[in-house]
Amino acid sequence: MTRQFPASIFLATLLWVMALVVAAQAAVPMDPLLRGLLDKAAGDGSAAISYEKLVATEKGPQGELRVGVILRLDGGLPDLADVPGLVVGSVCGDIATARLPLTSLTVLAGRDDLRAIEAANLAYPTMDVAIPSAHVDQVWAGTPAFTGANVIVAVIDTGIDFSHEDFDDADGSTRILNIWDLNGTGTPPSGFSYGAEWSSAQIDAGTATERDYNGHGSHVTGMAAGDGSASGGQYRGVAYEADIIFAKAYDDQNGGFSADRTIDAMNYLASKQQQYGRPMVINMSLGGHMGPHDGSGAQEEVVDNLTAQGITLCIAAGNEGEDYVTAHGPAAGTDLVFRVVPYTANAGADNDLALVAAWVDGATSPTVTVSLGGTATEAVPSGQAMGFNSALGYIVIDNASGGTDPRNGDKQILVQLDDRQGTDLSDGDWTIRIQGGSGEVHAWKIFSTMTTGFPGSDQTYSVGIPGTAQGAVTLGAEKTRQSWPSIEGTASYGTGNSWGDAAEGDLAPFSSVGPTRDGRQKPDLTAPGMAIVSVRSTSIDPPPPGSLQVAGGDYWVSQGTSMATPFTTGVVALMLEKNGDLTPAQIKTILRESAATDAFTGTTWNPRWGAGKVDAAAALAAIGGTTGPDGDIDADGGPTVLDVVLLVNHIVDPVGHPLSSEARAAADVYPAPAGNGLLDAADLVRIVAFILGTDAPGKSAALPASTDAPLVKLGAPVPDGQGWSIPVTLSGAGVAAAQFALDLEEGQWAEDAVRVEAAGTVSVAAHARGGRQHVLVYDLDNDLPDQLTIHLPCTESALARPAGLLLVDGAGIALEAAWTSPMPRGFVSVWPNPVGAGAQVRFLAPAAGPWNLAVYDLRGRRVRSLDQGSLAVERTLDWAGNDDAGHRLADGVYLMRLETAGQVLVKKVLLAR
Amino acid sequence: MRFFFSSAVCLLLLAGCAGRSLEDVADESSLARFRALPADAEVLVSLHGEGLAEHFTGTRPVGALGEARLVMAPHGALKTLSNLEGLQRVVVWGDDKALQRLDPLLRLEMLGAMDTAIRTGKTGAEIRAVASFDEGARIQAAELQAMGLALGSHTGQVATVRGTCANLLDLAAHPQLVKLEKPALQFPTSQSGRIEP
Repeated sequence: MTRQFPASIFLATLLWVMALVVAAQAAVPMDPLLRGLLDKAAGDGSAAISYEKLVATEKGPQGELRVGVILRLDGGLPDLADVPGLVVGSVCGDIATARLPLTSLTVLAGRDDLRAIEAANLAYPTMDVAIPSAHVDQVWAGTPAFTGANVIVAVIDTGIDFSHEDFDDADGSTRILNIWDLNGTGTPPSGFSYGAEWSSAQIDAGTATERDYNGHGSHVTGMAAGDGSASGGQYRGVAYEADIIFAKAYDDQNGGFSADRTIDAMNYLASKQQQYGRPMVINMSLGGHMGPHDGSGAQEEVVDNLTAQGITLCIAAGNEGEDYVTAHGPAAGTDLVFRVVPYTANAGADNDLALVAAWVDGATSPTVTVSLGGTATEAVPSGQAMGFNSALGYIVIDNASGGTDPRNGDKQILVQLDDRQGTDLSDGDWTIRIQGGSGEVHAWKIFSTMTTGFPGSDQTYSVGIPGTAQGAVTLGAEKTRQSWPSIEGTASYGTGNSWGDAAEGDLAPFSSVGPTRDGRQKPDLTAPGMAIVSVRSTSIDPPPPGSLQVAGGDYWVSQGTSMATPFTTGVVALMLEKNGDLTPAQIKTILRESAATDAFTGTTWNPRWGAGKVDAAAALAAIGGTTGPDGDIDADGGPTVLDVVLLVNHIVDPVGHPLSSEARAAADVYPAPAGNGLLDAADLVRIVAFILGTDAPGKSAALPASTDAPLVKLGAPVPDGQGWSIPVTLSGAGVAAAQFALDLEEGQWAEDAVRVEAAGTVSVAAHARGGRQHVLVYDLDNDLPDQLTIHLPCTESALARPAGLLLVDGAGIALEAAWTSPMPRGFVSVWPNPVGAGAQVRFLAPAAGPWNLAVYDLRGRRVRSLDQGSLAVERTLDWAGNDDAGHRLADGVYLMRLETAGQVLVKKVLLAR
Repeated sequence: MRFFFSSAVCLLLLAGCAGRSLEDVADESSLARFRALPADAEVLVSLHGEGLAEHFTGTRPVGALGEARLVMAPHGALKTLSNLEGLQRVVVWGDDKALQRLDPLLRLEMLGAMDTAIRTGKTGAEIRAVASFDEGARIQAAELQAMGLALGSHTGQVATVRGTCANLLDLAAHPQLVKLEKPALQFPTSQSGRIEP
């Protein structure tokens, strides 16, 4: 048998030798960037710079890395035929361009008829004004550079032209991980019952039938994550190396987004985030005004739910900043003037209408009257809905017919004017009179088939739903350019109108104005949103005018807070690439606090600009670097209390608070300096010592000498002043820095924290989450006694038998524990594991008493109840990998958990189909 | 200012229908809902027929679409309403909680769907809705599916569902439901126009 020498090792060795040869024997001076590329390819760990982001590279026909070079000639272009794979691009005077395999660089460098070899530096686009205006280019060119790699940009929109080159990798495969067309026909996503989902493989195979007939979604996605391939990088999106997941919630038939579909799309994306386990930011460039505008609506609640799950959502503020869609006044007595501009009525009945919704304080019951000219309806009392047929058209007044909305205690008033009875709706200034209420009445135009509005509007409260959601990052738009190069020549906004007359740098006139109805600060900030060049869907029907098309038709120009939103979504992706642990709240705070202010924006939050203009470089800088000293987990310059918090959160909840690889490296400080590959309480001790300044030379010897796990003995539950507690006795060298977790059902824990019985300076951090109690023990002064007893409070003695204790060491491996009272042991087994189409589950409940068998996900949620009973039993049953609803669970790790009166047995199960 | 609306109040017209009971004009599910309500309850009820008046004495109008009327009526008034001239069908929706929980636009969509179904004799169309439950509720997919509803998705206290009017009325009676709404229609937030080459 011949033993194969691994090709990768061989290649790395070869390149390393070549690099040495080049360094030692190069006859021609060579650009350090090219040498860096050679070093990096040779596997030299010192080459930490991302040279491939600075030097033009491409993949050759055999997949080999080719590099772009500029040759300084010495009296003309010599014959370079002996340089394998070299292709000359052009020659101009003493300068020539060429591309060649990286492996040929050594040959080229050995020549004596060239003056120098320089790298063809990668130039980043400067023609697109928005990118440099928000300093995104600085982030791309920084060290390290951030481009959105390993982050998922998720978009809910009208569709995506997945065939566009800007959404492909360099090798032509798609960067889109999944598409769900909610109105499509095909295989729905796991956990959903309608629409059609495609994977990246199916997209590459050409089986996806989704299309973007509107063009909005492709443009938006290109802004956030297109890589600009079709323009040589000129119209590159902000996070151009992010992966993409797209949910087409738009209904091409009715021309809008139905809120239930966008809710389903949000839930779909949340499930995808769990599936992929990567940072995600969601873009929603959509909105409307039907709803309370105070964050209490269902769609806003879903936004907040996703935010609570750690997903940041960027949502457009809306484009009603100059559209007179809002009105407000005292509900005690106010006339809201609603203008119907003269229009040409549609032929027939029931096809012209205008709908207004208003919200008032629910404590009182105002009446509503609608009038035009000298004619008025009767006053409709609160709690009733009435229709009035008149010569002016048909008028419906629904004055809070359902009473107060229990979610906010307010009342909703609807007024609809239409032609349902065949009488054309009259134009003119209609008056909606509110009388007898309290507080403020706020009204919005919801929809009309003709031009309508509130002529007296001050435009405030025009931020749309779901941009009003508490957790959303809500974007207004600014103007960064007046003109652009179109295929018909230079096009512009012209002059004599608000868009054209707005100065570059000023607010886009259409940008919706805050605050929310309940007075919260929206929008949060602004981003470029006028004359934005991005991807054009080839399915747009009809195609946009030539003045809007750019660069051969691959791109087009659009504007709106729809564009400001994906710009910021891209910035968030860059932030998440730098630190995937940032919470949505942290991201929003950073974006707002790092926003640029100027003479246009003012220096404080205001309802037009929010906190100012998004500044990518400042936002990334606010996160801190990634190469701080030991213990500097958040890379803000040194170990701080925040680093301790981050590490504790990670130790007690590594699923919910995962650390990036850089943060893990910074956190793994025990034993110093290289770390031991684990993040555990010993690391925590040392970081705290750093902060307290006790980590002087010699002092570290006082830290635990080893990470040996402590010996653990569990006592039987004993009554105490609060109920019951389980005594846990720890001894041994590892006591000074220990960590463990204890599983019990929610509700079985007493509210009190763990109680430690030990002398000396002992710190304990305890954290309960989803029925699991996490405990960290650390002793900064190393004066801990050999033995430590911790009492874990529980509510019942019988259910808190110590057999359920799961002790986890620094590697997350269960520790052996000695029981003070032997328990009969049950078991649970799953075969096969990993589970494909299905598995057999065999288990033993060893004693009489309530028991149940269920499947949990890693977030502690029960996803499938399999069996339960009260008698001792050994049983085998089949499980198809489904949840309680019969839907197939997503692939991943689950926990098969057998809980009996005296013990909890957990078996890890991997679903892989 | 003179009111132009002249038929705000109409008397009940009983001629030709005397003696008809609710059982004659309501289906079994409506009767079951009605019998479950206490005698002092206000009842949310839709009236379907030809030439029905706009308003009825003793009732509170809470919706109308075409010939269909949606009113809150005292429990004891349903026998009288059952004898309205032109009335073909009465549908009992529930009590005042149903009125509060069903958003006005969803009510109108359901009213229209019911009316169409009654006139054509066909099964009512599926209607999509967004359901909000109270803070303590745990949304159980199986429970919603047992009501005949198709569950779109759920998170926190919010679920998207679709089902017939009967399914939605059952859901409206769920003890932990807070609101059932017609999904709002929203639009892309890009702008067109005002661009001059």
